[in-house]
Amino acid sequence: MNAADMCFMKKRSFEDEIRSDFIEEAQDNLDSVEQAFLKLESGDLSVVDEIFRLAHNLKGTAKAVGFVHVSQFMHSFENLLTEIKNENISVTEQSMELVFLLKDRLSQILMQLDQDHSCDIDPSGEIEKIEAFISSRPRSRLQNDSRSRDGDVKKTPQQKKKDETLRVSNKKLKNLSDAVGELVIMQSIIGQYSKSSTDINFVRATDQLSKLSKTIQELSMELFMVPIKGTLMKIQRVIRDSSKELNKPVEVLIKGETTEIAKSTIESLYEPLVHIVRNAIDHGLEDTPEQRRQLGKSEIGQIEISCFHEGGNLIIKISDDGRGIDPERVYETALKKGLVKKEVSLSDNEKTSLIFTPGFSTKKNVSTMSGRGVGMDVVMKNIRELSGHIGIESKKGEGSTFRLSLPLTVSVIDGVVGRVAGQSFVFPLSQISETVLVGNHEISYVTGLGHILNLRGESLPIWVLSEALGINGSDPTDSFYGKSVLICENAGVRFGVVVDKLEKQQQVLVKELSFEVPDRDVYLGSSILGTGLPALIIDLAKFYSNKLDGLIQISHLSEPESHMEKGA
Amino acid sequence: MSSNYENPTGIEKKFLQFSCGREKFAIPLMKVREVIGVPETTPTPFSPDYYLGIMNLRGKILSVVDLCRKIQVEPFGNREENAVIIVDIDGVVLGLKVDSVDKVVFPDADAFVGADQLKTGTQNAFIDGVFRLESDLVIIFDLNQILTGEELRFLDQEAA
Repeated sequence: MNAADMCFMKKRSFEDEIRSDFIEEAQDNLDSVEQAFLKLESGDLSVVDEIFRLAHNLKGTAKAVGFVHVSQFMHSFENLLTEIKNENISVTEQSMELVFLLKDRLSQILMQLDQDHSCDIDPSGEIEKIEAFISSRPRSRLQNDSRSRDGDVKKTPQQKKKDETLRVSNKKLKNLSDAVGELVIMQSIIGQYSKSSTDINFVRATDQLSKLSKTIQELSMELFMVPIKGTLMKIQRVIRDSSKELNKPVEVLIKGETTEIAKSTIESLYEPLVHIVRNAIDHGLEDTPEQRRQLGKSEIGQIEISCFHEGGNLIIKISDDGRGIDPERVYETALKKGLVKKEVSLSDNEKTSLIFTPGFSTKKNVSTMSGRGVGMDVVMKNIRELSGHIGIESKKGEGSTFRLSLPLTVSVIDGVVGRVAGQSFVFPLSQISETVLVGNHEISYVTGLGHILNLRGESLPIWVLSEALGINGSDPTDSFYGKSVLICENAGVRFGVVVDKLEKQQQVLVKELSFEVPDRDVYLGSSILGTGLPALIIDLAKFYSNKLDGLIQISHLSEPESHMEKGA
Repeated sequence: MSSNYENPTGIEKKFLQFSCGREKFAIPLMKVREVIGVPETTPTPFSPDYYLGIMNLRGKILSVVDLCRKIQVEPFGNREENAVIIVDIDGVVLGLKVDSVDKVVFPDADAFVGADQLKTGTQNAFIDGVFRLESDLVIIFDLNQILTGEELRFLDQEAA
C-alpha cells in the first residue's frame, strides 16, 4: 500500500459517512413511527403499512451500506408485520410486547453502530424469537388479503417525509424574505420616531415591535440556511482525489460542519473553496512526503478547514502546514508583471496578499489542477461578488491559512448613506476601510492622474463621485474642505471616493435592479431609505475597476509604459 | 406590419387611452396594472433623457420612463394631469409617464384602420396599429418597443 492509499479523512472515510447518514436517518425514521407503534397497540391495523414500509426501507438501505446484520433483522421483522397485517397474528399483549421489544432492540442496535460501525451485531436471537412466535400462532384465517407484499411497498417512503418537511418554492421564500426585510427597515424607521416621542405607550410598543421584528428576521433567515456540511463533504472528496492524483498524502480536519449558511451563498462558494484547497495541496504542500520528513513534519500533509459564525459573518479558515508563501517571491513576481511599484513599501503580509491581484500566477508551468489561469484573483473576485472578504496569513516553511469572511445574509447589508450633489447614495460598509474628513491641503491635483489624497504619508487616487457620476449640482472647482472621503480597497490597491457629506450608517435591504436600468453593473442594487425614495447602492469595487480604463495607476509614476490591467 | 387588433376577442378589445402632446395613444388594458400620479424618482447617472429613474411602488423598485420624450412628442397640456401608467410587459414592470390618462375605450372591430395605410417613416416603429374613435385617430403603442433597440444596445455597451 503506497503513501497515496493512506489518504483518509481523520475522522471518517467516504463509506463511514454514508453509514453515519444511514444511522441518523434510521433513527429519525424510527422516532417518527413511534406513534404508529402506539396506534398499533391500541388495535389500529392501518398503521402496519407505515411500519412495514419503514422496515422494508431499512432492510434495503442497511444492506446497501453494508450492515448485513441489520438487514437480516429487518427481514424477519417484516415477516412478523405481514402476519400481523393479514391478521394471522392478532394484536394481543404478547404480540405487542414482542413488537416493542424488537423496536427497542433496533434502536439499541443503531446506537451501538453509531458508536462503532464495525460493532458486531448478532440478531439471531431476535430472529429466532420472531420465527418461534409466528409458527406458534395457529393460522386463524386464510390469507385472503389480496394485497401482495410488493403492492405494499409500492407506496413510496416519501409519504413519511411529507410529515416532516414541506416543499416550498424559492420564489415564495424570496417574497417572504423581501417582505420581512422591508418590515425590519420600516420598524427601524418607527424606532427613530419613538426616540423623539414622549408618549410612553408608543415607546413601549415600539420596543416590543423591535424585538418581535428581530425575531421574525432571524426566523426568516433561518429558512434559507443549510449546514455547510454538504459542501464540505464535496470538498473532502476533492481533497481525496487531488491527494491521489499528486501522490501527496493528506489528512483533513474539519471543524464546524454544522455551521449554517445561506443556500445561495453555499452554491457560489463551492468553486472558490475547491480552488483554495487544490492550491493548498498543489502549491502549499511540499512536493513529496520525504521532503516533509526531512523538515521534521509528518509525511501526511495536514489540512484544516474550520467554519464558524463571527459577528454576523460566516468565517471559513483553510490551513495547510506546507511550505507557506514567500512574500519576497510574490513581490518579485508582482513587480515583474507591473502589478506593483518598487517605491511603494509593503509589509510582508501585504506582499503575500498580492497573489489576489488580477493577473497574478505563481507557477510558470500551469499544473492541471490549480492552474489554467484560474488563480487566487478569480477566487477573490468570486468572494467579492458574495460581498465577502478573503485574506491570507502565511509563514514561510510553516504553512498558510486562507481566511474567508462571508456575510450571513446577502440581502441585508450594512451601508453608509452619503450625500452626493443633493442625492443620497448607499455605500456597502464592507467595502470601506475608513472615512476621513478632508481639508484642501491634503489633496493635490496631478495632470493626467487626477486628484491625489495624502493620507498619513500614503498617496491614494481619489475620485469626486459627483463628477464621476456626471451629476450636476456641485461645482467642480469647489473646495474639498469639509467633504468626506471613503477609503476603499480593491485587490490590494487603495483608493478614495469623495462625497459631499456622510449622513448615517444603517442596514439596508438590497433590491436587485432590473435589467433595463442603465449602467446597472456599477450598483449592488437599490434600497429604499427612510424617506421612501429608492437609493442606489454603489459597488465601489466595480466603480474602481471601471475607472481604471485609460487611467495610469499611481504607482507607475516612473514607468509610464505600464498600465494597470482592468480589474476582473 | 399588420395590426393584431383587427379581430380581437374579449378583454383584448379594451384599451387605456392616454395623451402625449396632442397625440392620442392607447395600450391594451390587459397590460395595465395601475395608474398613479407622477412619483418622486431617483435618477440614475448616465441615463438617456427619457429615463427618469427608479421609483418605490409599495416596496417594489421600478424604472420610470418618460414616454412622450421617448417618442419625441412635444408635451402639451396641464402638467397637473401628468400621470404614470404602471405596465406589465411579459413580466417586466415599468412606469410610463404620460401627459394625461384619458379613458378606457372599447373600439369596434371596424374602427381599426389597416396598418398598410400607415407606413410613413421610421417613427412608426412603436405603432402596433391604429383605430378611429369619434373624431380621433388613436395610435396603439407597441410596448415591446420601450425596451428594445436603444436600451439593449445601451446595456450591451455597458456589459462589455
